[in-house]
Amino acid sequence: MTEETKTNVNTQHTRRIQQIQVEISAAECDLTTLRSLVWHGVDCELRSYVWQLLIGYLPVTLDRRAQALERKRNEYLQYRAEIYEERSQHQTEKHLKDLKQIEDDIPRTQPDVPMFRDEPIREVLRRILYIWSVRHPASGYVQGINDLCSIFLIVFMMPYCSFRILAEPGSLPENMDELEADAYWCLNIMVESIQDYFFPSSPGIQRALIKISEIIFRVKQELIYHFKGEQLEMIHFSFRWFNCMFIREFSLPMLFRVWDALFTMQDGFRILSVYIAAAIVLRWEKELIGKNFSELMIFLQNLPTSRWTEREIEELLSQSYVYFTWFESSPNHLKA
Amino acid sequence: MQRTHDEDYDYLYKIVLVGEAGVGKTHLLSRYIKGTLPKNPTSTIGVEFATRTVPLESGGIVKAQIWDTAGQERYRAITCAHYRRAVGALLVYDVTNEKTFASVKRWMEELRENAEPDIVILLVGNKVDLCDRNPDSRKITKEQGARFAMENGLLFEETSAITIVRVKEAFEGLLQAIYNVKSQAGNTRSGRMSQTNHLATQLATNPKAQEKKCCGN
Ligand SMILES: Nc1nc2c(ncn2[C@@H]2O[C@H](COP(=O)(O)OP(=O)(O)O)[C@@H](O)[C@H]2O)c(=O)[nH]1
Ligand SMILES: [Mg+2]
Repeated sequence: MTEETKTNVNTQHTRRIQQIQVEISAAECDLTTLRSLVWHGVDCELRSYVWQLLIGYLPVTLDRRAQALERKRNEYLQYRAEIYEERSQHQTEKHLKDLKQIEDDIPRTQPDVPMFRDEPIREVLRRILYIWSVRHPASGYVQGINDLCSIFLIVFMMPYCSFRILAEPGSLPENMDELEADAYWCLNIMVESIQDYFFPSSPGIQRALIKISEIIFRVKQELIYHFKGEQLEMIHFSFRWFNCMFIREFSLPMLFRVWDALFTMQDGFRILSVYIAAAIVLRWEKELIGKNFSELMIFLQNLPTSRWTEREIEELLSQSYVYFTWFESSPNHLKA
Repeated sequence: MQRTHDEDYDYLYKIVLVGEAGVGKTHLLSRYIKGTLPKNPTSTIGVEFATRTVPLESGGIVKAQIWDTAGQERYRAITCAHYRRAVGALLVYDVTNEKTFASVKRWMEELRENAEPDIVILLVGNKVDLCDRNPDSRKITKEQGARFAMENGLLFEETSAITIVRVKEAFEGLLQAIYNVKSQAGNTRSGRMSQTNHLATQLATNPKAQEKKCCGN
């Protein structure tokens, strides 16, 4: 990149962030405008606020927000007292089993983020996951929801931490009770949008798997034939992509960018995610076509994304959007 | 199709790692494949895959395709889908946790139902290091494990992924046992086979297995 284009990109970025700022502090936030701005990403400072607006946790009307927040936060505090603190009074076998699983998964949640090795954040995670599982008896706690929850926690804490949360240890922000409630509710709304991903035998994920297969087939038939020949199934490698919404596939800063995009679309976690998955596979079609089963599995389970920057993410997202416009608006394209 | 990019081997065995969540499957696998513990352990979602090529005691080289699965109850139907064409399994429990041993029977039945009919299963009692440190923490004696294995026709080992007790022995004992079963069944040929050939013989011995319904789904 030349110095000049670099400066251009920077000014563009600054202008976009300013526009986002204007939009979120308008008396009536226009979600369509906000969505198109956020598609290209948002700063860590603003991200939590923007996500809360886009997901529908914060009302679009500015002067209703404070009250709505207060109500939601109080409601959560009440759950905390009744469902978590007094859990021994109304715990079923299932609750105990879920709590045991949550305990097992807590040390295995974001082990790379120093703060997650400390008890205070683990207790927050334990509470949210337990309360969520008690309130969602149809699925109960499902492995992977811990990962989803951790993303909300990290993003929501970011503006309030004076240290670099992804790299340094540090203590919880003072307003953690509020952030905990916000994380609970946003997790709640997000998971509700893909509820059937977490029902027994994951029917929602099964449908997503069929859909990626169809998209890839339309773009690159040979690849699907190659997978078939090698007896590779989508479920072998992309189940985790959907179950954890790509958390395990990208570094956190890049993952946040992927989620920015998912939040900008109506039902993005269900719909856009499938196109992102297809774009991931298709991005490496040339490499993949020459690999046998073992090599395919090892490649697809360890995507070479650790050094990815915004640029690669932008490319991936634009390509996903291209596939989305080709196939989503005209589903007949998907049929042969 | 020509396969020029894979190392040479004589047999390809698919092995699955199963057992309740948290018993140490992913640690055992990492210890065996990489020689170290997982750097930043996360819970296994879906399936994780690794391969290792090993010389057998009886001669010949086997490539093990190892499938590490998620243990949570909720994932069972999905996990079963990965059993297809498996010729071996490590069925892991935690010697300090009774519940993980109590569910061994169910895992065994699911394996027998969904994998190859002559699947060789190695029962593994993991985390023995905990008992060395504190004998009271042991909830399942070695005898209990061995008895269950004998009564059900399983092989048996006690391991620790942390202090490295019999990890290599477990995996490679299983591979050897699979070889023995296969050669008794007359399923292997002497000499080195072309790779495409044994893919055909080892992976697709039972095409019907593919159509089998998985775990009542
Ligand atoms: N003491 C001890 N702990 C172990 C051993 N193997 C695994 N663990 C611990 O058990 C937990 C779960 O291990 P993991 O491999 O993720 O279990 P999985 O769910 O069966 O894959 C981790 O906290 C490990 O540190 C072992 O041999 N000894
Ligand atoms: Mg595991």
